[in-house]
Amino acid sequence: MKDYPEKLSRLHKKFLKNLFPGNESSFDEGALLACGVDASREHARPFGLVRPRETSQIAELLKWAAKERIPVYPRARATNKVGGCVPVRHGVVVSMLDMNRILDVDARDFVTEVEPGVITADLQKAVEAQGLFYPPDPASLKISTIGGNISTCAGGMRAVKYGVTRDYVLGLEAVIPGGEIIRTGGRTHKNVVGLDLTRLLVGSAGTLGLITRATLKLLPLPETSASVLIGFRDLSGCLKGAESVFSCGILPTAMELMDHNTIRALELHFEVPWSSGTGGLLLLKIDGSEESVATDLDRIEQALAAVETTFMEKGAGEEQEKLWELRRVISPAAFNLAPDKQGEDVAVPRGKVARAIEDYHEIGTELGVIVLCFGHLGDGNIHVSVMYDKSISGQNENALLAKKRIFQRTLDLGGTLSGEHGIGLTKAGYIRMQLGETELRLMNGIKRTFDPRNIMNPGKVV
Amino acid sequence: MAAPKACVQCGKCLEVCPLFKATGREELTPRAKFFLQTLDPSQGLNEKDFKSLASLCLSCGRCAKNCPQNMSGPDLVSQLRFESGGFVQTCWDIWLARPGLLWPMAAALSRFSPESLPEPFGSAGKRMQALFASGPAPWAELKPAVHFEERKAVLFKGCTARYARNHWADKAAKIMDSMGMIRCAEPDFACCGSSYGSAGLLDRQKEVRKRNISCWQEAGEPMMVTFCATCLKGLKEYSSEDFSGDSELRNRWLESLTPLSSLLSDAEVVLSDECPPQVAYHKPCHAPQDDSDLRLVELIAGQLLVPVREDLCCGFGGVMQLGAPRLSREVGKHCLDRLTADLAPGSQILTGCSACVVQLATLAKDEYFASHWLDILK
Repeated sequence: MKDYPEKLSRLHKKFLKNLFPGNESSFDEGALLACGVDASREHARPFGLVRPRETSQIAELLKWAAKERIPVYPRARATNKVGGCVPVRHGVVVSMLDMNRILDVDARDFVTEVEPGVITADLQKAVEAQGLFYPPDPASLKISTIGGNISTCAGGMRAVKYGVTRDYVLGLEAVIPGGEIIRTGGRTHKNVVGLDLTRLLVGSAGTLGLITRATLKLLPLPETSASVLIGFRDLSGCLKGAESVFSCGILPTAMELMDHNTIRALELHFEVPWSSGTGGLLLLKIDGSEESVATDLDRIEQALAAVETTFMEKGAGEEQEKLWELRRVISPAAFNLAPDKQGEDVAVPRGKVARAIEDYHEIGTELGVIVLCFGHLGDGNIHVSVMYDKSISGQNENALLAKKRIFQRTLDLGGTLSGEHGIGLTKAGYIRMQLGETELRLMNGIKRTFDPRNIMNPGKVV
Repeated sequence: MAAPKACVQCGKCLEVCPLFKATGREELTPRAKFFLQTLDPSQGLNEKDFKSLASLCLSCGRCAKNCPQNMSGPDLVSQLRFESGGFVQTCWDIWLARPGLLWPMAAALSRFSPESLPEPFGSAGKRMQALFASGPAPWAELKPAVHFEERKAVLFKGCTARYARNHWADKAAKIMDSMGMIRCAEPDFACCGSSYGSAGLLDRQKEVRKRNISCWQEAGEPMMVTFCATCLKGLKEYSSEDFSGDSELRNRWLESLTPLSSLLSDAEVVLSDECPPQVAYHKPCHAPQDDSDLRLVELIAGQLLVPVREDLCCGFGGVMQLGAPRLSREVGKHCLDRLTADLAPGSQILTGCSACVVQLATLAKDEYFASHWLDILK
């Protein structure tokens, strides 16, 4: 197969400038460098940047790119943490930010149609204005886009009750290499005709095609919600608290855990509401009707009466947002503990969470790095951050060793390397720890069927 | 404010950066600038190109408020502008240093400029007219409930009111008198320093801060009344070094700073027949969290006030007026399109920042009047 070009020719640039006139394309050094990095902090410089406004432009682009074998890197707000949008083989970055219209919100079909550049929080606001609900809520929801969320199958805190992005994508329009436009699924909530290409595209991280439109399922907006932040002396108290809540028959909207190192990072970040001596936190949300939320809150309080707690704060309406802000700033606050971070988002079966966290802490102690565990206790998806200082001799190596041991332990417990962030660049070397040869062969075959010349997001592992 | 750490590329600044919102250009975001700063010249931009790109910042400060790592785009830019200096900074320095002479002269000359002049001259003409424009017909009267006994006070007018919109200062002085304040003879205050800071003219900023502190001390440390959100922010930011380390003096200074609107929250309001069909409030980027200007406009306008958007920047950007006027205008138009989206013709846009007034008045379509809330007071 022909190699990827080492630069864009004059004719290549002319083609792109014609297809993407004015400020729809850029070859300016600053713009190119800026669109070559994401929240993984990995970076590479593409040869060109284009900002399509129409699907037809993307079809033309992918026809040309396949013919010329130019790598194509879809991009939106670049909040992913695994290098998913870093243009490691250069080529052309396609920013989807200008395709950002909400095309339809239909309260009778319980469906919305959107372009990929719509910001998730904006979509949520728009549907909520009509009494509807789009539940997936990744921590980046005020910044990240629906297109990015679909490409990564973004999860979020409400996944315990409502599932992840995949569960809300009914249909997609996408352009595949060669320029053909495909439409998968549709507006119906049930559809079993053919293989499920919609689910295949969700989470494929731009390696199969470029999503240009999505049909999403909506739910009725719950009447109200309330949140509770509960402090415990230690992690085991925290996990006992979680068990008590589940055993009283309530499925919370969200159930987040924070371990003692997370608590320390937050305490160094700003003024915190909990009392000293708190070594584990649970943050719960419940939703439903006014009556059911009040009843559930009472039942949760009763269930927790048997467990020793250090602190409890409840919030309803807008008030609860300040509790959730604590959860959203953990990622950056972790840098209060050490300057460098290696963040993993492993998931284990729900019943194995306690064991997994204890083991992760033990790995940190053995290797002299700080292991901080927080995240979605409710669905077993634990964010494990290894905090270290690469300027100290041996820490870099130990952090990498910790990563491998954490992965191995997770798999031993029946878990997965990634619950929501994906594999991308930063975990590419570990995929064979989880997937077998046959599975990988099947996946590579699917990739080749969609993208025989490997132009879509090359250099990445999904 | 806690010490800045390092940008982790989380993208929270994208949520609020007005340049990014208006243009969609990632390279203009604080995230991109902090990333480019970390690259060595062999991988990244050369020093000149980096400084010129990084300088494209409106210094609104929204990114700094939203950043979990305490990184500040305006601080980065101010430092870069300070290190690089250059023609644009020099022009801005002269513009701020001689307002009494230059501003009226520029306004007079702008009347001879044909409309079709290329940018930046075209919009500069309109801007100069906006700087000296008169306000709308007043339609509200305030009867303050607060009354002071023997309270010495001084009005910090700010450059716009001192050299162009004198009627703001006259009205503010009248309100202060009606509250029984004993107004000191007008000290020879300089610019608050805010505009110098964002332009990287840090030596000049230090100079004016010293002068303002000493004027205030000579006047007997009176209550310092302001009616411009940017001046208030500028005055609040005086560092301990500006007070030669005297923290008690600095505390007294901070305590003395009083937005005029905060003294009017219990005032009685009488509206005349000339009130507009609707009122929009533009919240300045530099307004404090608890924005007493907004509370006052809510009190005056009541039902006339449309829901307030807190996420819009007018795009004025100080030295950006000279360095990148097109970009400033693009952000301004983005802001006005949203402010006036559902606004009836003849409605008024009120704000509490001098720079926002000038920018919005320059760019607003003829059917809307953009002004300071002082303009609508009889």
